[in-house]
Amino acid sequence: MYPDKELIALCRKGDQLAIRKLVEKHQRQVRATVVGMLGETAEAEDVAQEVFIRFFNALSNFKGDAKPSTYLTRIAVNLSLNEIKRQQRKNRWLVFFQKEEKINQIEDKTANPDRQDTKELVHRALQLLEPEFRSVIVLRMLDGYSVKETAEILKLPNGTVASRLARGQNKLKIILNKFL
Amino acid sequence: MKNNLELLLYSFEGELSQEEQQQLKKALSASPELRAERDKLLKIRKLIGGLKIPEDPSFSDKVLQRLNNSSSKTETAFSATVVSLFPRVAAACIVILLLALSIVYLSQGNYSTDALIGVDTFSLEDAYSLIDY
Repeated sequence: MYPDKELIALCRKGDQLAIRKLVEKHQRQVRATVVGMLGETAEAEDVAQEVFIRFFNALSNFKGDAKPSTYLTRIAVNLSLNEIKRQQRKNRWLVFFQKEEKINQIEDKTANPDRQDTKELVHRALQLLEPEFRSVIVLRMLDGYSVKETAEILKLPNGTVASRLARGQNKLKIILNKFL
Repeated sequence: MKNNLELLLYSFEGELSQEEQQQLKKALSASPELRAERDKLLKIRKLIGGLKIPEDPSFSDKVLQRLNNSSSKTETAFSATVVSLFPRVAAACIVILLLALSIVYLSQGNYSTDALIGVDTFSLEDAYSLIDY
């Protein structure tokens, strides 16, 4: 496996093999972040691809002071937040009713835990969190970044991340209460 | 001052002081409800941490395809911009030229070469005096 520094240098020269290797190396992390933020949707697939496109198009600005994985995750979170805003603008009038409906769906499923798909349930619960809580939960609990790394990626103070994590987990506990 | 639930929530991130850790320890041993809350939160962390994203072997192909398309699109977009701008730029140049000619005609009354380059009132002696100066 090539180190990131060498891959980046080759990518800058337009080496297609290096680009492929860099995508293969980081795709799991990027896709996990985007799917955590947007759920398993076609938009998430598009956004995950777009993360790499943006990264390669901005390679000249990448100074190497952060790890490529951190840089990619930052792009992934920002593009996911943009997508959430785009969807909210699109469904401005439906948001309230959809949220109510989603909570009901989760409650229906938790009433029959034998039949439910746990993974889908957790994804749905994540989608019910406000984006600021969702992003810290996804980075810390799904991607496994530390509080310090999460704060660095989101450009927030450590205390804010810790507080959002605590509040986010409490919200998830309330949403998933019947299931736990 | 954090309450017991907040202490519990912050404890997962190692964000408690020594004193708060002791307070939480005491609270946990005294309260079965708080222990139940802790178990629920641990379960949530395990569920989220265990979310697996299915492999997509064609993902890198899709990215490369989009990357190549986007670079060719950029080139095409640049050519298209140049082509679409050309008639406007040409029309603007013609208008500027006509305006300049009108100004020359109005001020000089003819289109002689001297008038066009602005030296019709400039005599040879003026040139010599400029050199001497």
